[in-house]
Amino acid sequence: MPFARLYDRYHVYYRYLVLAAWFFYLFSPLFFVLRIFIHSYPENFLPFYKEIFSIVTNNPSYIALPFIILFIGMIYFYPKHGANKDKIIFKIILLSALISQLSITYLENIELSHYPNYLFSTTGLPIDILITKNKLDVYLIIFIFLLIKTRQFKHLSSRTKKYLVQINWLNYSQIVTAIIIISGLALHLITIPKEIFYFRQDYNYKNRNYGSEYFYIQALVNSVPKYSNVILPPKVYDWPLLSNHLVVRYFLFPRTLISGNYLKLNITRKQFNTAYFVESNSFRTQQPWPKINNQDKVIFFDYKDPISYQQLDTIADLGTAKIYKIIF
Amino acid sequence: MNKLTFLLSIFLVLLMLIEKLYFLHLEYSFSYSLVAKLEYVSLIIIVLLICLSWWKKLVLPKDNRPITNSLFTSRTISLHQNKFSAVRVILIALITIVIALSIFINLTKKSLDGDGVTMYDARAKFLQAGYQFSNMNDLTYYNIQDKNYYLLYPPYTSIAHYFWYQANIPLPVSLIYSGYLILLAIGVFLLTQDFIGTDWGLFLTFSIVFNATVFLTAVSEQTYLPYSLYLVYGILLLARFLRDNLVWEFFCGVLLLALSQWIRFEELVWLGVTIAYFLTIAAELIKNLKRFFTKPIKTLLHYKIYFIYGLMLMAVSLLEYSSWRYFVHNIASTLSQSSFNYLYAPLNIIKDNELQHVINLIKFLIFSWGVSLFIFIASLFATTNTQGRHAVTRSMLFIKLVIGLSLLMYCMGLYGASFAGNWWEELNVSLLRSASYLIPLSYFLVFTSLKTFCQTHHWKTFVKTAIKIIITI
Repeated sequence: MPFARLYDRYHVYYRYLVLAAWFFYLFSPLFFVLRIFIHSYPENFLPFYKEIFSIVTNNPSYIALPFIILFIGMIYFYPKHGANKDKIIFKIILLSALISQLSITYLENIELSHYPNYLFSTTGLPIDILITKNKLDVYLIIFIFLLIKTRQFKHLSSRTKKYLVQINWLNYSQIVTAIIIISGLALHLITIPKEIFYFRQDYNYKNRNYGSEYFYIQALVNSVPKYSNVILPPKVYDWPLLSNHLVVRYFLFPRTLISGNYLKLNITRKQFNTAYFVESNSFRTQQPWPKINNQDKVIFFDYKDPISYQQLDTIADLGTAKIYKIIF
Repeated sequence: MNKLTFLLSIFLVLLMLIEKLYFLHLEYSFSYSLVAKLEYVSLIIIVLLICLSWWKKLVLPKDNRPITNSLFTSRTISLHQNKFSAVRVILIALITIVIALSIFINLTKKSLDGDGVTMYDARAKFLQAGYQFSNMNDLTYYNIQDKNYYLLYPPYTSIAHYFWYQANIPLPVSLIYSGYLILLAIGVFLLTQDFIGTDWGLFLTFSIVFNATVFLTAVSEQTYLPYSLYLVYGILLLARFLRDNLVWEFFCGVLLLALSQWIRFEELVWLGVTIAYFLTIAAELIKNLKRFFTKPIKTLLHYKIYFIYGLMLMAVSLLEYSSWRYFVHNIASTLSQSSFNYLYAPLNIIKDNELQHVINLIKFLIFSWGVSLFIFIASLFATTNTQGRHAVTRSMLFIKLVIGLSLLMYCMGLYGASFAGNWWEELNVSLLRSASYLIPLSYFLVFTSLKTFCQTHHWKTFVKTAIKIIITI
């Protein structure tokens, strides 16, 4: 008897048990809600339906994933020659998986749109667990598909043991590596749609106009003449962008950039006569840079060492930032 | 198909050569040096040799081919043999969608990538203003912390940006990187198609383009994608040479591999590839050990041409290495560390008894590379027999050795880079990106293995038995 046909003898005796286990797993998060019901009545069940459209725009990958599972399931794992009841159970599991995936995405979106830990405090649903469950579902569904298709609920028979002996070890090792590789590839491929779709959001967010300090760079570009000297803040935590010469040089290029630290080390008057700088408050510490003492005609570019000057003129006043021309 | 492969690889070589010639024109003091003269003359000779050997279809003489010849016969499958099936159309559509997505992101994004702003695009701006590379250190005169910054990386991408600006193309410069992605997709398909067939080749191309790391390199203006493009072309061409014995494939592979140093300098991938090449030939010798002991001189002479070619590979790579190093040290008078330093790292492990440190390092690699490391290691164990069960072809062995040695190199590099464990986390992202050339290579091995696995027809029964075992456990 051919080996493949041997398996057709076994039937799914416990198919309803599988279904019951699956639904138990699926609705397990509801226990969290029950727990909070016992302790206190939920008062903040807001109308959630307003946000349903924003899911599509915010995280399409989570929408795409269940559909991919659906397609793969329908094409590759559908039990074509199985019993009718098997087919029905298969369809029920697929549909319920789809619904649960979508609903968890919806809940996640609600969490994102409100404050952190919002869902847990109002409904008792731990969102972190739900998200990991969402990922775990994929593997579980594939496993159940395989179970239904192969219908193996009985332990190994003597014939299969014989068959295992018949196989030579080279082939066996080949197949073990292949199984490892397939699972690795599946892991990799599943994470990719998320990466790609999320990337665009992250990228635009991070590099939006090069951050808030880009305003000062633009002001310098517009008001300082080319082929002149520009003094920048010393490289400290307060000025992450403006003190980074390499970034600022890209925009101010023909102008020579001088670090605030450099001025304390050298005698400035010998090297350059005039220079420009922007005065403003740091976004992080609200500390102004540089410290200017108009009475003594002294300026502090590195907060410590005073440097005397002859003349200080305001070139441009942009409200939060002032651009000065200094003559040493 | 072979024609297209040749045209694409020679296009990449010529692109690099044009940039190098522009560089020579720019740095006239460098052009008088002996290294530069030697380098450029040898490059032009090799390019002519490639064209000639392709035109004449030069193959290694029969006496010098491997003894177990039947394993390495090449078989070319053309697309015309089979009509376009639905699977192929879907795969091609998916590949084009991913590439179109990268083009869309590159067209619409508001800013360049961090390193693109500070280094690659900035240097293109300086070139437009008439600066030379050797003078760029003058810009950082008033900023002590960033001395020598502009000469940390070779000028390939900067000159590419400069050419783009000079051509007055009214589109963002980031589109170059989508172009590289297209070249990578076509190249991977063409170079692997006759190993694994059209359908598997298309699936391989799709999964490489769809890979998150590769995709991210195609939308950031950094050296990662061109670097892995040149390396993948070079290594796959060398692997094909080991199978087909075509002369042009060898020289083209050598040039692409050696010239990749002009994109990223610090990684010594060329050294790993050279060692892998010699080890492959040595493995061939060991295979025929009986013959080697009975007729040692005759057997060695049999493989002499491979050894001579290996020496050529090493010489060209070393010339390229010394050329940029000479420029940075002597012409631009910048001090930089030798990238050979981390090769001494294993000595330190033995000397200082730093085993705990090594364990931390391996932990870090596992957590930062994650699934990619898993696939790299899985590809090392992938069984890649194309004919018969016991034979492992030379080219596959070569690629496996390249992957293994590269992993070793990154471990050693990390170890040698810093003893402060906190610092590694900053390397996290860039490490996988700079190792992105391993992704096509390891996927190629994995897919070859999968194909052979599917051809054995035992897989269905095996899956069933595996599940049974799991259930009983």
